[in-house]
Amino acid sequence: MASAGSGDEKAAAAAMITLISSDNEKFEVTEATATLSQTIRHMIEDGCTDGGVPLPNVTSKILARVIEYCKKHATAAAGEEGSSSSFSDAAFLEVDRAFLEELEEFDDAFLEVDRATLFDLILAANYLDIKGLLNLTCQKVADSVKGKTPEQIREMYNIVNDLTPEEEAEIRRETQWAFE
Amino acid sequence: MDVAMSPRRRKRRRNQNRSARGLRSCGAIDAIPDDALELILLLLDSQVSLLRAASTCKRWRRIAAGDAFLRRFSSLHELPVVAGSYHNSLLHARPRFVEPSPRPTDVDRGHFSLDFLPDNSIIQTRWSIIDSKESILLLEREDKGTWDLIVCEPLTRRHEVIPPILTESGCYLRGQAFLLGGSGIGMSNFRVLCWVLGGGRTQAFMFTAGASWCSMSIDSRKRYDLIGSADRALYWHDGDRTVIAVDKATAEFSYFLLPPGGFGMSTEKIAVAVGSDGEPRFVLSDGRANGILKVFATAGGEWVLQLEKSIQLRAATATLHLPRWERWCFIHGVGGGQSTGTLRVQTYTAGFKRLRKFSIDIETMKVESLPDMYMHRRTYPTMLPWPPSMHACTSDN
Repeated sequence: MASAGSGDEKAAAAAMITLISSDNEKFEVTEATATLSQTIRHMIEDGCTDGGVPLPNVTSKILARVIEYCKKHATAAAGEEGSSSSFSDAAFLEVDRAFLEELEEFDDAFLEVDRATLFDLILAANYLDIKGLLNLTCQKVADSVKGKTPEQIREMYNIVNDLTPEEEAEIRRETQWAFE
Repeated sequence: MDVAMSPRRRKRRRNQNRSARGLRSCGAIDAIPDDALELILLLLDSQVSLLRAASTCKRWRRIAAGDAFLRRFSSLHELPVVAGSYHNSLLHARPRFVEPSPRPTDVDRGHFSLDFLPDNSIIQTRWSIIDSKESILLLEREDKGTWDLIVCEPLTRRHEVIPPILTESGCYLRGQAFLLGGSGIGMSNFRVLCWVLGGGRTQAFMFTAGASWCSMSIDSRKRYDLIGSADRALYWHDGDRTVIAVDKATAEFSYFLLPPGGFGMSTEKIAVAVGSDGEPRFVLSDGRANGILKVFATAGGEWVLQLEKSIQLRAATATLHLPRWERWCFIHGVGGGQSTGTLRVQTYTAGFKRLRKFSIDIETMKVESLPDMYMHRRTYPTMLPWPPSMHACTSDN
């Protein structure tokens, strides 16, 4: 997991951070990758990352996926900053567009996971405060609800209906038009 | 530095709280913390999806019904959504609802049918819409000597019958009625303004939702005619230089004097239009076929001549192949698909026979012909109620 790829080498020389999953697996990542997480960014700023950053709430399986996401998006951010001087504006825009398309494809493929993994990714993104990943995963859940009835939503996500039949009838009466 | 540190500290404490709980979801959405669930609900595609999601369980409903949440949802989605528009139809018992294509919402169009409007076997006349604002409609029904008004919200089927305004002798007073209310207007906070003209006099009455009519004090010795409507206000003119403006959101009355136009100030030669900046423009004309239009705009409370243009109306309308006409005047009305910056004009022969209608753009002075049936096709856009009523099962919090 430590291999950073040729684009990252400059940054890698600068600083590496070790992340430790709940099952004690160590992941070495560049600072640029790690600081997509606001939680880790604040730890780095406060100088408490020596000896690795323990993440007791994130399993190695999920942390590996989170790092995969952060690497891709950190490269994207670095690419945008780094390439502006070496291309003409038009060429830069072209590269930019291609890069964004690639990033979109990456995100789509990244979301091809089962429901349990999706929820674990939301929890990790929320805990690590990674805005992009949290938005991406929450959007996936929001999209899945579109056009569904309350019963279908409950079934899909194993939501226990704690409304009494009377309460449900009252809710229906209030906004009948939204239900059928 | 302290100031910069404090929000971060708070945030970290929150994260530590989270870690204490443990972070395995076990595939259940119950494990998702409230702020992530709030984000999921914020990212829902539509208001309809939100209402459905908000009736799955108590937790989802509590989050979705919060005032702050609804404000954020509204800023992320363009709300309220225009669901379609009504128009009055001589062929049908009730006003017709028309949806644009593609359909902007997945609400069944049967909910817009107005089938809950009260019927009366004695009164044979139909309800017609006379004003609309967001999700609310104002309808009238006229029959031998009676004049009924009703305000309703089609989707929720809520309606309030507005009692008649009666004279001392018990006769129905009839006038022109307008629906007033700001954004977020609903069945609990609308107002109806009724403008009654007769015998060179004016009376104005205001009805407040759930209350009753009250008489507005205006100079009743004069006749104030409607000269138009801008985005925010309605305007009436006394035939000279005084204009009454009524704010559509606050229902406040204000008076102002028109600038001297240099020619007679009769109501048919004065009109209000909305400029491209959304502000009102007063347009005065000398009423001649090849005459002058003066356009006034407000600047710091004063009316300022913005544009004075001689308009060769006869030449400008030559391409429209109009029949020979002698006179023209402004058509005063409210809404009706009048686009920004345009005024409607009608031509007459010397015998006051109505001829053709066309529009003038007050910025470019471009003239366009209007269809003959133009006035009958006023449409009343209707929106989904926003914020939605979510009182059921949320009041205990």
